[in-house]
Amino acid sequence: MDATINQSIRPMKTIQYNYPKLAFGNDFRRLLRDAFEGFDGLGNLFERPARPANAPAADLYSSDEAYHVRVEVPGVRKEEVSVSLENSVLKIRATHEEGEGEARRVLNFDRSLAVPDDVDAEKIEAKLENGVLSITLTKQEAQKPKQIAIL
Amino acid sequence: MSTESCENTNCCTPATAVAPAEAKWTKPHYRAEKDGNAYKVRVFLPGVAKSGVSVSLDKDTLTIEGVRSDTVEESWTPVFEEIKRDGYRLQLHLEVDIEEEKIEATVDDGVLNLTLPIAEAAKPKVIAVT
Repeated sequence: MDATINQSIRPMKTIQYNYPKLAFGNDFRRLLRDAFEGFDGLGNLFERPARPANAPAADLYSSDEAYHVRVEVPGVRKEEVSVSLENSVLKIRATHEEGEGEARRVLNFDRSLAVPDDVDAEKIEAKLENGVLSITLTKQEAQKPKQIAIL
Repeated sequence: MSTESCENTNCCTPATAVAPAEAKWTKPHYRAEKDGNAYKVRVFLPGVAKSGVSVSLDKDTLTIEGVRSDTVEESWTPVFEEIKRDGYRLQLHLEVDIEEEKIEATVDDGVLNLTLPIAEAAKPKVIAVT
């Protein structure tokens, strides 16, 4: 009898909840709101929670070899953006200041995205072009089954 | 300066009404402020390169259009999508005379900066009391 355990070891999975995309979500809420003025008891039941004002719009795509993130950060220069990945959360922060005195304006962007955990943290590339930050997160190579010898 | 909402995609011009496939526009965020003798307008057009921006002035309507140059490959599967990939369109009604010849426009990092100098005729006049 073969005295080894053939086991494939996968890192723990991040549990992600995908909010259902229900077309009637908004209409349904409006209907309720009109019928019971001031009633908002269903809260975010049918909607993805609204983004805070300084959280830019983002896209996440998956391809065979990588995840692709797009974040809209218009007006921000390359050196003003910071991207970090920690515990499968991709954090994008950007601050842009311009003008002085009364004309001073500050643009603030802050967005965190839960990314799948099969990302190779060493192989992340980001570039900024025309106010859109593109991040490519390379997927880890499929983990090979690991033979564990029994002593 | 006031704005016309272009959320109704068929409202803008007959040309866009004829071709509904092309008539999808997103109204971009923008800021307009008076700075001395000019209006400064900043229009946020993320994903639009300099070559994709067009600014036109017809009488007192300033039309700004932007076509995105960033692309997403067809083979990618969306996990979630929040960015609208339609083009941008913004119409601003100028209620003050502008020196059309001196309008300046620059595009940096996905932001269109417009300088609209106020025409001499529209500037307040100081009347000397004699």
